[in-house]
Amino acid sequence: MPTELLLFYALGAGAVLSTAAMLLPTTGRSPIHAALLLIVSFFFLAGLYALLSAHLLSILQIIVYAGAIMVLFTFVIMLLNLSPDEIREPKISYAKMLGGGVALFVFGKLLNGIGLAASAAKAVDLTQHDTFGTVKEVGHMMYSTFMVPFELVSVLLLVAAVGAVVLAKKNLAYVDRPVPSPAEEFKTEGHAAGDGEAAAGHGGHH
Amino acid sequence: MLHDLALTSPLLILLFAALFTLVVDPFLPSTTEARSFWGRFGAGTSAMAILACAMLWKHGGNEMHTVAFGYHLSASPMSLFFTALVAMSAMLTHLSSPKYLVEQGSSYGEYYALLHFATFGMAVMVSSESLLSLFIGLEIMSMSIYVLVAFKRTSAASVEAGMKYFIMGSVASAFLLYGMAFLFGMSGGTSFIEIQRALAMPKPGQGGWLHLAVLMTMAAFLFKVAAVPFHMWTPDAYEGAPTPITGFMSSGVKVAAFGAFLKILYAALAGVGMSELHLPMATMLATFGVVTMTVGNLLALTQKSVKRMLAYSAIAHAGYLLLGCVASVPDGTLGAPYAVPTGAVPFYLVGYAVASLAAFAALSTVGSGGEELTGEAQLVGMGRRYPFAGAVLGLAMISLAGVPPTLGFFGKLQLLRDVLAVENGKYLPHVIILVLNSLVSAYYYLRVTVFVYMRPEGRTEREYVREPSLTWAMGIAMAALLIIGMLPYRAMTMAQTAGAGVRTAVASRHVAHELPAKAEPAAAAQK
Amino acid sequence: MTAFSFSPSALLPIIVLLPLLGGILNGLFGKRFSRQTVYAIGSTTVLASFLLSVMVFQGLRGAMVTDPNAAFRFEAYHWIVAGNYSFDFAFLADQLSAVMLRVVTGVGFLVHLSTTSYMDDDPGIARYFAYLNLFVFSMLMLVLGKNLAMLFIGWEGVGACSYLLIGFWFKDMDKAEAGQKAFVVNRIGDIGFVVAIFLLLAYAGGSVDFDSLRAHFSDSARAIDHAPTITLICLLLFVGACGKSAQIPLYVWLPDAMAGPTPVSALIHAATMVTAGVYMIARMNFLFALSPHAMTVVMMVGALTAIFAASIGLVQNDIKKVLAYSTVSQLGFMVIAVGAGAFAAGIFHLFTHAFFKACLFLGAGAVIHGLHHEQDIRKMGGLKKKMPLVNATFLISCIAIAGLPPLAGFFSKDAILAETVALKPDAEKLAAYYEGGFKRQAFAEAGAAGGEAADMAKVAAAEQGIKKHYIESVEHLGIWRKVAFALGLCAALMTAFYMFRLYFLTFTGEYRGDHHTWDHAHDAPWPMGSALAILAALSVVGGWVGMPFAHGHYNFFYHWLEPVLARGKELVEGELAPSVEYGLMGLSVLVASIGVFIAWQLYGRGVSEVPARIATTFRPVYNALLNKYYVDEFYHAVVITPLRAVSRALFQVVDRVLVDLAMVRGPGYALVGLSHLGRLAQTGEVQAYLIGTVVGVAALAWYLI
Repeated sequence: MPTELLLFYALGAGAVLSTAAMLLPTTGRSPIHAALLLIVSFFFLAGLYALLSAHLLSILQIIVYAGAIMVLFTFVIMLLNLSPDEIREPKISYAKMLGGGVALFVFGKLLNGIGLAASAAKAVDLTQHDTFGTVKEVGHMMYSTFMVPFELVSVLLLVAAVGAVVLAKKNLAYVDRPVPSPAEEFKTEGHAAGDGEAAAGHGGHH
Repeated sequence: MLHDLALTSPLLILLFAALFTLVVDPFLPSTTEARSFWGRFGAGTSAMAILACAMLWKHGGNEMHTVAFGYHLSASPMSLFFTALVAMSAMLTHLSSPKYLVEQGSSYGEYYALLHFATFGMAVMVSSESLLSLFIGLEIMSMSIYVLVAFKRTSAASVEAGMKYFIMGSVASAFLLYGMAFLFGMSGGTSFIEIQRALAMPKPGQGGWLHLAVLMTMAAFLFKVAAVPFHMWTPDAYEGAPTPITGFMSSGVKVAAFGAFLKILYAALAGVGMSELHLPMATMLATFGVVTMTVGNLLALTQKSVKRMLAYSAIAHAGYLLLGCVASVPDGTLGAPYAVPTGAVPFYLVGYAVASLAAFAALSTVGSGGEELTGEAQLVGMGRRYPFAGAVLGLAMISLAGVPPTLGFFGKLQLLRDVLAVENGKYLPHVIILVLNSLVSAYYYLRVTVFVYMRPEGRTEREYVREPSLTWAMGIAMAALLIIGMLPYRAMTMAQTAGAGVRTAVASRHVAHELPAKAEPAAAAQK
Repeated sequence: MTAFSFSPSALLPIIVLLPLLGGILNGLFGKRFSRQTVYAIGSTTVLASFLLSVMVFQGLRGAMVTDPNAAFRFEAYHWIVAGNYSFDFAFLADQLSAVMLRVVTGVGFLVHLSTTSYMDDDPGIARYFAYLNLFVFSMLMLVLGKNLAMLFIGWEGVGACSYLLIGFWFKDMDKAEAGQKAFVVNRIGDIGFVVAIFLLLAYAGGSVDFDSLRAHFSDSARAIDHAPTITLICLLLFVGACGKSAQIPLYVWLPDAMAGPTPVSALIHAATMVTAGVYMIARMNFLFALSPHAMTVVMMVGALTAIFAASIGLVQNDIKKVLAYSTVSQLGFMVIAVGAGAFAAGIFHLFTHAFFKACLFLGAGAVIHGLHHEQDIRKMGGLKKKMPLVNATFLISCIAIAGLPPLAGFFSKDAILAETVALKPDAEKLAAYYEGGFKRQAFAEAGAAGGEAADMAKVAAAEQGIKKHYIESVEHLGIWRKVAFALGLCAALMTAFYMFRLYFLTFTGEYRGDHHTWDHAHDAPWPMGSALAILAALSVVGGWVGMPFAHGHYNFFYHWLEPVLARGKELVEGELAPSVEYGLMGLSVLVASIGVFIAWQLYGRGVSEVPARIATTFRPVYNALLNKYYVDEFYHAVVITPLRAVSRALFQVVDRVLVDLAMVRGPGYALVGLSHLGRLAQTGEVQAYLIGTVVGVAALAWYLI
């Protein structure tokens, strides 16, 4: 199917290129540009999902990732409001060179592995049913076969919510003595581990 | 359904304890006593979970249908053993937390809820029979632990540790998910039995995907157990975390990670995993084990902070355990190419978990008023001023060093024996390195006892945190170390059963003659 | 003995656990107890153990009427069962254990009793009693253990307690170091012991139970019939014994161990723990007797230790050091005995030595306590007047240790010396035991020489040759017995001399210290006094149970131990004519008298210039003796300094080179990378951690793809 193949390559290239563009020096200096490029990349991915007949997934990719999560990202970036001077010049260090080299090695190995596996594999068409990937289908599975994991995910989300509250809330209710929020702490005390003592001492004054 | 609920009762107890804590806590008065109530409550519910495990174990056996909830969870001997161990870690952590948190000015009810959630996640991990539940369990655990590590919000070190752990852990999760995706794509199913069947009848080209899947999965687990070179987050996270949480990380998290690892190795990848049909997986694990223990021990030698030293020692023990993972015996239930782990790893974990919990409980008696004093020099005089905590710390160190007749010694003995038995001493060089390593480790463990007992005290006399529930925690840990150390036979047999039980769920499934319900999900949906 | 309606077996765990209970009580709650309570708990638990031990002993006597080989066994539980190996947690009270049991609990109780007056001003009394009780517990585990594993647990336990008690006053750096020295030296010995246990496990059917080991080694069909292997195992066991029983070259810790409180020295470093090695060899007599070569090594090490330590003891000026070297020397005698095959005589000397040496140590303790912790005998003298009771008991013990009849030491020491020359291994029986091994060796040799079809005649000839060679080699060992005898006799002479030098300098003549101390000097308080009196009485009569011809024509003590030592006795035989035996007795009395006489000449008749003149004339010898042959210095130079240097060098390499140097720039990229990672781990950058992860993944990828 040449159209499908063509579409696949186009979407795939779009996803890869938009991701790669984030690494360019010009965009790399600007977080907001990088974030926008990520959104572009997500859209391409959504297209790929749609191509694989995973309709629901494709929509969710746009709504959740490209929509909600990226909005959050951009908010955070804007709130931080980093000026270009605050963003450090990229430095080349041994460690980075080593990391880059090893990462390239892993990438090559993976590519090689995927190539090997793909060359020997036979394509299996899983989409022989028209309902594959539809909301109904996914929903059905979620409430039957995958009920337990689904419920477990709800626990996971609860944990994440509680955790976020614990870490971010200015004052947790009921405390014996007032405690400064971590945000304040960081503003005054920096971040290095060695400053822990000073931070604790600071906390005592409040 | 009721049957399923009964089989998962330890998990449910932990989950309900978490929810109860979360819901009721806002209504309690904001006093120290109210907070420390949660410590006792947590210990009690954890004990109930252990009890539930014990009852299930007792009523278990091969006739019982151990798989619950559509083959996502199970109550096999292995799950029960590991769940009980995890709950035991939680119990001691609950007991040793309240006073510490008050002293550190972070005494909130959420702490206990998160602790329960983490335990629940661990229990899910070790009870899982499918990739999905394993992964979600792992995430529940990790998510709670990230927050717990950063729980001392006033301490920059704590928050930083939590953040680092979070970032590193996310990378590991990504790897795991990637690996699982390959496994799923290759076998068309998420449950261990489906994967195993697909592997037993390989289709052309599957080998390549298998390599990728194993690569990613292994990377994730090596990260979780802190194997070199995936270990680098460990010292920071351990040192920054509240001391009881550090204890929990080195006991509960390690137990859960190794439990899940054994499941992946011996249940999901059974047949290709450890019998080296396709992959040099066992050799690889052994190599990682040896490197890990050596690096861990070498770095631990020079540490001045006991907490950080124990972090490196945790790495070293992960190395021993990784080597222990290759110790396997042929599976009697299904026949030839399959293997099951021996009792070495489960039994070693018992000793290691209890000893670490004891050590960290004793360490949380030092330091008060927001300060945490866990440098070696700050332990001087502990043996005289708080003899009980000193004795517990000393005993924990002796056990970690593997000196007879403590639990640690028998753990190591069993591990060495079982590893040596694999293919007629194939791993003899590894075992020799292990022995040399444990000699090195004796040096830094015993150095702690020297500081506790044999250094003359300076002029300042340190005050120690004394509290009944903390004393209970230390007492229970000490009793376990001594009693199981004196009578290891029964625990050893139980560990053996647990190891052999890694495939019970799979076996029982064969007995039940049930075909996987979701190999063809679309087809199932259409019916 | 019909009074025992129950089996005394059930008493064994109680005997062992009572001191443990006392130790736990005092250890955990001692701080809340009053002094008296601590004393009471510490002493009564041991007293109760002693009384129960007596019951076991009597029960055993009763049982032996019907069954000469009777022994009580108590199996608590299977401790470890791993494959073919099994260790049981089990107790065995046979004749040997029963003797040891009474010594340990009896002397243990007396020491507990006298401690109450020695340590009356120490704040750590509860801790002290806890350690002491734990020591008794471990020692009981050692003597009652039914297998080598149990024995080893006790062995380690007594070592640990001794270590804790030597370093009891740990605030004093020297004392803490003495404790460490004892610990380290004993570890060296333990390595040998552990390896021996593993070898036994591997070669003797997976059990280290004494009963089954004995059965194994009594039957050549089942056990190892390869003589060098048995010799190796024996020698390794003996390395362990050397550490514990302070034999050359591992004796160095014992004199330093005198840093501990004196009652501790009396119990642990004289009467009980240090004799554990002798006990172990006697216990394993069925194994040692199979290897005359190993036995000869044991005997000669004992003889050398005896004379070496005795010669050092000649010139020491610290009252406890003299006793310490005397202990080493006496242990040497016991080791001579077990090495010569006179197992019963060794245990007999152990038995009598426990009384008089404990008495001497407690007496020394009373002196030290009375003189406000003065230990230098040059600053003593004339204490007879101030301490009549101590004087009397000390004198009795000195006579006993010097070996003058009819006190205890005479009989045991004489028995050792006499049997050293009298006994000889039965080479024929040994050769019969090793027959299988010889056959195999003969096959191997003949096969190697004569191709694939080794003809039977040639094999038989080779076997005969090997056998003959073996028997000759065993018989050639006889000469060493004469050497050991001579050395032992010299050591006995020195013993008599230095003990009486000690006595005269301490108790007779004029007081040489300051007057303040003299005025406050006092005799032993009643608990210590009664302990001294009992021990002195036992030093007098204790030897009579082993009098050669008293009980008709047999020796009661030997007869009693017969069931345990039968196999050893069977393989090492020999008897002296009564005339020769009386001659040897006369000789040892003569030697002892000479020693005492010289001591009296030099020290007993007031201040004399002679010793000083001798010292100046033989200055090098004197200095060598005074400085204990510079052995400590030697070890320091040859062992400790190089070890330290190596560890420092390692530190330099690991720390400086691996961490610092390689970080700057190294040839290998991998090394540079690794050290970078190490450094980055220290700075705590997440990026670095991630690189570590990627490196790990790369390693995995290398392996897998």
